Amino acid sequence: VSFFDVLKFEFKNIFTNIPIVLTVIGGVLFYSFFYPQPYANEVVKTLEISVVDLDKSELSRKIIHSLDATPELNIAREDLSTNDAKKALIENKIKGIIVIPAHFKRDLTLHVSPTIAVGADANYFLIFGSVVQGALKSILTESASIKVANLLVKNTPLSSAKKAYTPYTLQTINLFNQDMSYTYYVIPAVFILILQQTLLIGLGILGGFYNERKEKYSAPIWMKITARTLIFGTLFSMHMLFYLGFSFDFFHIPHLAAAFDIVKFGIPFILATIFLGIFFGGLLKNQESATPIVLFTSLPLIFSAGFIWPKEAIPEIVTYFSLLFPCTPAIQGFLRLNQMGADFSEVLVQYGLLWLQAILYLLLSIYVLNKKKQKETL
Amino acid sequence: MIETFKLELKEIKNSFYLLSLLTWIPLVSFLLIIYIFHNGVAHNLPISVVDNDRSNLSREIITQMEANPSLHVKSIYNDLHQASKSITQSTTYATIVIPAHFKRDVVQKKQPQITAFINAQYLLIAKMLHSALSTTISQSAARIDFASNLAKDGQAKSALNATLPINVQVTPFFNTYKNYFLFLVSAIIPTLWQILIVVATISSFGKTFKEKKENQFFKNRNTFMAIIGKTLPYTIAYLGWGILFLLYMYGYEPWKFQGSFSVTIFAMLLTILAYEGMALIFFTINFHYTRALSLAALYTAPAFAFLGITFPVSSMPQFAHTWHNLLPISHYLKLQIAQASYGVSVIDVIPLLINIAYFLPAWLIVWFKIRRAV
Repeated sequence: VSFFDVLKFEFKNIFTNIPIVLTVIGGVLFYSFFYPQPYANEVVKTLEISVVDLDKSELSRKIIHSLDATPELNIAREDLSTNDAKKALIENKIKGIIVIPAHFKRDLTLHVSPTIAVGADANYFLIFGSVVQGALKSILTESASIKVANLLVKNTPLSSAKKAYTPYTLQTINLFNQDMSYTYYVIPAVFILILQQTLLIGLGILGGFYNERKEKYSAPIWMKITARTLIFGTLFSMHMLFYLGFSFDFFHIPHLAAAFDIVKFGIPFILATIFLGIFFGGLLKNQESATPIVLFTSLPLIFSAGFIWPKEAIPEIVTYFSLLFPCTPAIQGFLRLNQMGADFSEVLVQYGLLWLQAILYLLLSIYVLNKKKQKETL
Repeated sequence: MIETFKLELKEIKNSFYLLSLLTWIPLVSFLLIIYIFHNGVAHNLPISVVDNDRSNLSREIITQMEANPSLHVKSIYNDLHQASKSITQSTTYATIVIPAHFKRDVVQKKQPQITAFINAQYLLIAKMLHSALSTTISQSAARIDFASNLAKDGQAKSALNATLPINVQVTPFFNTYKNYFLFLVSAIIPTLWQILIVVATISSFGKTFKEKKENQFFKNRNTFMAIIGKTLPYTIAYLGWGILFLLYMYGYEPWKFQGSFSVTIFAMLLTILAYEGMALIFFTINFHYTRALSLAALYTAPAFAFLGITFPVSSMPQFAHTWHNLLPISHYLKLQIAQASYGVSVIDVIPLLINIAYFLPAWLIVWFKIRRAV
């Protein structure tokens, strides 16, 4: 057989297999549009809260007004008791509760610091965080202005009174994702995982398909591997450029890396994934086991990649195990290059790891295809 | 029904793959997720400090940051360049810059500013850092302010009031320890669970039709009852896994289950039936095993993003909102939270049960299609 025959044979078997086409073309295109959908509105809308005003003084009204003026919050209702408010929270009518205590004004005048309670549903962390952040900002500003007013009573000049309310302040600057966008956060990493998983499913189905066939398929192993690498390599190089180029632009995700660096880093990622896929497919007895196995690994892989849950908090064994999959160093490398503008020299560890994986899985695929061939000739 | 149930049990006994789907695969994948998040709270997130002041005051602030359990001051740099390198390499998640003449400016009441550069690409980590840093800095500022008020006033109580006219107490309802374990694991495991249900159902029927055993199961029997019997081993097994998960989450772990356990289990049963119905719809489109699995992957794999747990449903655009409603697991999870955390009455969750039940007519379509095919 000539290499060209093998290439033609592989090409035919890949593109006439509907599940493979459904995954490596249909799935890849579908996910590029589908996955960013939940976050397409970008910002979390104004959250509705309830205020329980047990003081009913002009000072408590002032606090309520400033809460309502906070962009994150919108006072949807006022309840007479904390219990009523909590009931509304459970019924999902509001997301947070703020309680101004009785004798609030009196305590303030008597210099007994009163306590305002802020509560939100911590089952939903993002909502919880936004409610607390909005409420704290507004109440602390109000608190500061009360303090300035107190100092003014004590005849401190206004300019120094304004500055004296706290000896120093903290300014926070968000790097790489200024507006704390969910799209920028999730999509760049998830896209890498999608590329890996669809490629593994495609090659898995193909390998399973050959393994369950009765007819022999004898061609030198290097030809089989080269043919599959050429076909899937071309296809997924295009997919990668489509994802990291067109889709990023479409969803306004910044990409800082030079195109050349992306390609340079992407080559070992795609090669390592292809060889892992050939090895994986060689192990499968039939084509239907490919999709489930890959599917079950997706959630553990995404949560052990270190971009959602900090790598410092993930057990070490899990981290080491996850390094066996190309997506782990690839996500880490691509995020640094493309989202954080790192220099290529700063991702050399990940780059090297991907090449190591490529070599390891190439050897393993040769081994597994060879073993199968021996079985056939016997 | 009983006959096909027994037949299916025999099939499972002879298939390592089907047996795996029911036993060790759920066990291993659930345990893996639990293990990844078993810390619950992220401690010692590495940060760096660029201390341009090098006074006893700046050192005290650094000590206070180190004392915050969420933070770990990994290195102190002389210039911002080194610090920003450690951020792009992700060895630290933030850099805190204390300006030159910081102490002098505090003494002169010029209100200097400490700047924190936080890597917001890691959004969840950035949020943890935001709250840890602002608490630490405002507490340390208040302490210094308190000391100077005390020196002026001589009275601790009014000195405290001068420092903080209003206190704010933050109460995380239903998850008192702000534990990420409860927040994430209670949603991730049900997401894995729905993938398993769909895959196992398709595998069971796919295998039967591929091996041409469909007549054994459906010939001369009431098709509907035969289908119920064939899926029954899976229904029972996944209900068992679901109950184990609930017992672990709310029995062994410190969160008390507030509402009705039996209603939650009933909702689980409905959810299993809903997903089995959907799985069989995928399969009976053209009775192609692998193709049905591809559709199942498209349907179940992206579910987590659409659940509304990490990102609120109310902020999703219409399309994502609709997709959210098309996943039975969305409704189940709402019910699970309502029962486990809120402990609301059974009557209040009936609408959620109905939402799950909307998927059950899928069984009628499947019944019709299988009866025609056999």
